[in-house]
Amino acid sequence: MEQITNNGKGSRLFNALNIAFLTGVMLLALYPCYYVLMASVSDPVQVSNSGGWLWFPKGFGMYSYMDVLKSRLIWIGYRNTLFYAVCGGVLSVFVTVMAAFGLSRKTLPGKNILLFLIMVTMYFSGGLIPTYLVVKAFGLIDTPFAMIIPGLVSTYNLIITITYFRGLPYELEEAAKIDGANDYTILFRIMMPLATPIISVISLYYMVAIWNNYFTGLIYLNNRSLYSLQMVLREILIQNDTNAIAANSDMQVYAENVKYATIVVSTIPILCVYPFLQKYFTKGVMIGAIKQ
Amino acid sequence: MKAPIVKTAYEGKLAAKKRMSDEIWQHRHIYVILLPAVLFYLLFCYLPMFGTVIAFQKFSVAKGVFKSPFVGLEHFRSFLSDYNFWRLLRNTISISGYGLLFGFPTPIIFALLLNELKAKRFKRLVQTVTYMPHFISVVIVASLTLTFVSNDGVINTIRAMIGVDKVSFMSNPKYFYPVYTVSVIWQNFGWNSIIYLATLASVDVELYEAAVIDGANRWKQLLHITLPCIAPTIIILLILQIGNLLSVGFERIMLMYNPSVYERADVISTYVYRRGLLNGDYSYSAAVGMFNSIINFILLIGANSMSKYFSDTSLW
Amino acid sequence: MKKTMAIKNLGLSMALILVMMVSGCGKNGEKKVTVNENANFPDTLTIFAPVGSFLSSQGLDNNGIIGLQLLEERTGTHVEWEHPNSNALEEKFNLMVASGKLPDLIVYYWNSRNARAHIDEGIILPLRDLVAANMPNLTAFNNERPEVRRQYTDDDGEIAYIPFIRKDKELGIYLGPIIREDWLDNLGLPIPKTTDELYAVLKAFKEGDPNGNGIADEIPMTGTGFGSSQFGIGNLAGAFGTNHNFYLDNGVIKYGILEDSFKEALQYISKLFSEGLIDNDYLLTDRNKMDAKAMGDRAGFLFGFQPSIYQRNMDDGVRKFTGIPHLRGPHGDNAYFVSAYANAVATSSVAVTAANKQPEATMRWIDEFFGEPGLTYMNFGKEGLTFNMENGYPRLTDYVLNNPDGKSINEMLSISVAAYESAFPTLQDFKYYEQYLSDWGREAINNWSEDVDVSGVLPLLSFTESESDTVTQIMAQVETFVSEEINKIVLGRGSIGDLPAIRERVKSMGIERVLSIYNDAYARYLKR
Repeated sequence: MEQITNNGKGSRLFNALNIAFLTGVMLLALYPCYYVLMASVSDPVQVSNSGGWLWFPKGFGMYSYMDVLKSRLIWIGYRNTLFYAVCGGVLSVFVTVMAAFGLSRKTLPGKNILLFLIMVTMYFSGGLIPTYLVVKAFGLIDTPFAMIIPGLVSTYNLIITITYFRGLPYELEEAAKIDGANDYTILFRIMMPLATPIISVISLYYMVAIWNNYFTGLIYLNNRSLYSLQMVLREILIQNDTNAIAANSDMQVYAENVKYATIVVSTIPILCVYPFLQKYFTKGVMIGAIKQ
Repeated sequence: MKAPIVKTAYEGKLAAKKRMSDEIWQHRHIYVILLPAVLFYLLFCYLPMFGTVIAFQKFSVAKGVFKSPFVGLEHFRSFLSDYNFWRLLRNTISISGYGLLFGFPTPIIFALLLNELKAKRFKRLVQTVTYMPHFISVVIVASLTLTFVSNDGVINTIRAMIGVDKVSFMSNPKYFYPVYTVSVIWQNFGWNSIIYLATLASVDVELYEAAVIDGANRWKQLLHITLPCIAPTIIILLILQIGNLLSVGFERIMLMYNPSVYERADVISTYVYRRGLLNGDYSYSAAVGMFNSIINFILLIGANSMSKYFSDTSLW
Repeated sequence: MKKTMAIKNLGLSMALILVMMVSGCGKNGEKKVTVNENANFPDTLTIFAPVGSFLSSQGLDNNGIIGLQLLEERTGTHVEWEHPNSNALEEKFNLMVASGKLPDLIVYYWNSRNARAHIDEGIILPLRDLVAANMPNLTAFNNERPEVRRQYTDDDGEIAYIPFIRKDKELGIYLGPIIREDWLDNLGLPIPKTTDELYAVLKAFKEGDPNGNGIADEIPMTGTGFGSSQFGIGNLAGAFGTNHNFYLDNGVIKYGILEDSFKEALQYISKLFSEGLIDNDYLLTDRNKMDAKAMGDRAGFLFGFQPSIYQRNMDDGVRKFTGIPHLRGPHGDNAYFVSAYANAVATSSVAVTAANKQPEATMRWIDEFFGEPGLTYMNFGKEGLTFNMENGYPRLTDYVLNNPDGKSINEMLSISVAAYESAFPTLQDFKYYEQYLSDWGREAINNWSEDVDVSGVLPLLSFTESESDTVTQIMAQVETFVSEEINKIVLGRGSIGDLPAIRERVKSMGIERVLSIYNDAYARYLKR
């Protein structure tokens, strides 16, 4: 958003300091990521003895990547996770935005009771076994839907979306109503476009949650052709993990590398989503445009 | 003087009912829009909720929820009378408190500073980079933190260079809260600022234009336009976080603590986890979970009513 | 306009993906109908069992194991394996029981408590009579090694599961003290045999710059925590005949912190720490960091697995780490307390479910794993392919040890040697394991197992439900407190003088009740 500001001396000084400060903060956040990247191609012994300071790869090698990428399953994992994240994300966002729109109507009878009951689920849940039995009763076990449906709506995401909707100018809706728009038109034609920033945020939240989720898969999926990327990667990790009998193997030494490599392999695709969604964060100007 | 319109009680009720059903009818489309989410909550959250009774049972998987014997409040009593209970409670609240005090404002300040940047590309670069650590697994961030504060880690190396004594951060309980909090913030501040950045994007530009015409400087714009606009989001997230006071996850702490710092580092979830290793007991952990949830929920309701009273923003 | 097109395309491709997914994961083929010529054994069995990680990484299940294929040929029994994801074994097991869909056999971490509960609920069968009537091989082994039978028989003589048994003593000891022999040579010191000699050696490691880099960066001894892991510095207490946990002493179960021998051990260990002979960061050191310190030429002494792993990665023709015999303390003790492997019965074992239609035939089938040729199939695979008999010794072939297709030893063992990681009940044989070890490893195992006192290791005891609840409730508190206090003393933030107060506290928490429960259980154990 173009911000109109005074160009006083103080303002310029502030800008300079701000840039310097944020650069520092950025480097601080960059370091662990850089470290992971460097460590994934380094000799793990030297990494561990570096005291946490790793500027260049030490004892360069790509064994860990070869180990991770040789698995046939990993590509299946990628395909499945992509599917779960995209389909699940879209479905979740859709249902969440609809619910948030409804629950942000100030005059809706029963709104407070519904909100209260929804909050209750944040704190009290049936636990693993009863939830499993319900999911099983719906026939979702060993289907792609097991990765999507049981976590369809996140209450946290729902709440922040409601909060966002509440902050939108009510007059727009009034005006639309006077023009004869019904609730569906208001939701899909007026509110949704105004809500692009929050929709991008919860899309990101949902997709990242599905992307990183591996417990759901462990519980509901047995068929290996449905495994998500994280499930495949954990299998590779566990294989490289401590095993008293296998302790004699050279492989052991690369267990650390593999850990770093799996993070790089699993993270890069999802990292690319954010810059793409970011541009919707600056669409706030729309409000002014619609008002006219 | 007009005669007052007198209604019988019955007529009043009837009218209220009529108004109510009118209201509901008017909103019928809204209910349709709500339906998918309501169904989800009913089927996947409320239907399995019968499982919560295991907190009052001596649950065994073999017997199942319906046949396991009831033991009443025994698990609660056992937890509350535990030798470690008060210490666990204190540590849990303290670690959450540090999170509230330092972890909560950091992403807000960061988002506001970012919002003041005019170089768009730089802004997006900072945004993207700072959100990345969220994706590195907790295992690695925790181990990196430990490496940094170990005896031959970076921090002690620097201390030695400037001639200060080395500090064994991780074998002295008093450093645990700060080290833990910094590690959490380090990993998550960028990610947590996303929601504020999105909210900032929804602030109407016309407001700033008007403010500039009125001669408001940047500080005043921040105070009178930006902050009020993101205040509801801040308040809601604050309420939610207060409602999580007793839920400190065990994973990161387990990765960072050791017996010599239990005094400050051992929290409810880690203790229950260790106890579970002795004897995997669903009922005990369900009871402790329920204890946490009840307190959390009460806190949430309290925070929500406070907020409703003072600021007009509330969850319901 | 463009946008709607894009959305339509997106929708289309999603539908396509969906179709692909659904068709990709079509139904598994119908059960094969096979007629078993050999009526002694079941036609088919469904078995819930974790799958070895090296096997599954090759995209195989247990049917890919050569020994099991041979056994299928012999018995005519086809097995359909249900392999739960090994990351969620416990959850998968519980969910399977909760949903009531049981296989014929369940391989799981059975112990007397969970097994008895499942017998009581009619989920698995009691096996005592079935074993006696249908398992001659196992019965013969039991008669030969009654101490092993005792480990998996319940107090009342019931048998709930058939275990994986480590037949040879060497398989039970896999961890011990290892030291930098080249450092000793550099300093002209002999291998330490006692705690006093170890003290002198560690001192020399610290001061004599044995790695020769001119910096005093040596960590004389490292470890991972005190007693929280098997590599802990607390292993040193064995030289004082004691341990931080429960252990057996002349037929009585004791708890370390209450004993004066432990006080002595603690004094010794904290002296080492205060003089800088133990890693300052021993509490922050995990397995990987420990390995890195060892291989990074910094650590001189530690308790670890085979030294060969280090040797291979540091190899420059000089012998580095050597597994040395357990050290003797001032009173001549050299005890070993890491119990996970010291018991012959491994934690993984098989139970027969109530859904099994032919338990007798099933037991006969399982018994095949305890007699010839099943034992050979399980431990060595197929003669001529994976091993050859040389003077009565089954020698693994290069097909396994140096696979021509470039598969790793671990991968080949997972296929050839069922006992390697499938954990399906059988008698594990040291003869395959020793071939897989390097010379360094074999020597270490010999050193560790020859002259060592393992009589202090607790057997697998059975507790009643109420006993076990009491133990859990008390021990959760005691262990937290004791591990805190022990480390405080080692670090110098507490002192040996605190011990009386610590003991009082532990007693007030109820340790004596726990000890009497343990000793009762042990008395019952002896009567089995």
